[in-house]
Amino acid sequence: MSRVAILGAGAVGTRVARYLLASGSAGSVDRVLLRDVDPERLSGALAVLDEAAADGRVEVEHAPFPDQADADVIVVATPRGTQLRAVREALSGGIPVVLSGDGLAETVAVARLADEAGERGVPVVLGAGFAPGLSGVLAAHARSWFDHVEEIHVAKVGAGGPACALVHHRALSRLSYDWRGGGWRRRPGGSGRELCWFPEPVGPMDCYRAALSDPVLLHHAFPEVERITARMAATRLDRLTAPLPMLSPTRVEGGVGAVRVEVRGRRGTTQDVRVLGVAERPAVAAAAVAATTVEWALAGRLRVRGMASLAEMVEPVSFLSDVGDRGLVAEIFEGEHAVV
Amino acid sequence: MRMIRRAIAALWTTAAVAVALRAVGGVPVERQSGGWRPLEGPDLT
Repeated sequence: MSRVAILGAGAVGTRVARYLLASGSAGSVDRVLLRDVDPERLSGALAVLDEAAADGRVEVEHAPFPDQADADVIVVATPRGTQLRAVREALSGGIPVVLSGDGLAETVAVARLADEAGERGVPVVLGAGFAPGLSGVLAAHARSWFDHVEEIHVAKVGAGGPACALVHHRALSRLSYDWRGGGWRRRPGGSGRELCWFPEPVGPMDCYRAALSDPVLLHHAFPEVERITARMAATRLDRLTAPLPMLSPTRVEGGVGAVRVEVRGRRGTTQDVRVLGVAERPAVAAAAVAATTVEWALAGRLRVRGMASLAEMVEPVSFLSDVGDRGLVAEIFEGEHAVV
Repeated sequence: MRMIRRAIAALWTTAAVAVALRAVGGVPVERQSGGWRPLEGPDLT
């Protein structure tokens, strides 16, 4: 009997539950506990999880929560500002954690618990979403084609849900961190425009620096790489309004998004570039990645018994194959001028 | 007083030009040749 607790019944959390409870799922999740502060959101999630809820495989809890969730794995899919506490509580109970958050400040704060996770031998997967998450796995796979990787550049488009959209909105007006030549370089968010070609149907988008957690997690996974950057797609209006509060309400879920990972390095005596990407609705992709990570955790397939990014935790080819079974198709860019 | 008025006018003009430049953006980049294909077979080994 395996039991998974999912904190946050938003666009990502509900989908993680649906993937894990789906009949014929590769994993062996018998029960799911969904926690959220909003009873209406939980009602919506129960409606989505119709069949499994009718079978009694879904439990819901809203605030005030009882003590520590009783689970084999905890998925943290809550909004920013709540993830650190959730990870700390899970660690104190010795329960493996899958964190799907993408905020820079909170990811760094959670990463400070790495020693505790290592001492307890509890797997804590940082950034198990679309980007960070799948982006790191793509980078790890692309790395296998090189003798020496010099640069990794990540770009992403789209937001999973309203909480994710808010993180992206704020990220454009905050400092970004790029790893370059052995140190962190701070640059203003919204600067450094670069045209990036994403897999169809997204296509070309202008991307800018932002306070994203990808470089931090990628540097942790690949400390030998000399240059690591991350950018996100934004419109002119996004950049102009980034310093202001987010006034207009966001939709429950955005359209199709994408991630693109460009890896540069040396193969033999030649310089080479590989560009990998995935196009999918960000909440769907993040949930597929998180659900697959949960299954790997339950099966004891995670490589690190401590805190690490997804790129360090999983074997990339098998993981890409598993998420491919959930409809996430990784693509490679081929042709002249693969890099714009 | 005239100096202050001129300074304020200069600041407003600078801000207006900056906003206009930011809104209009730069020169578009031409499409590159190439395309995406699914990662499969030997690419996934």
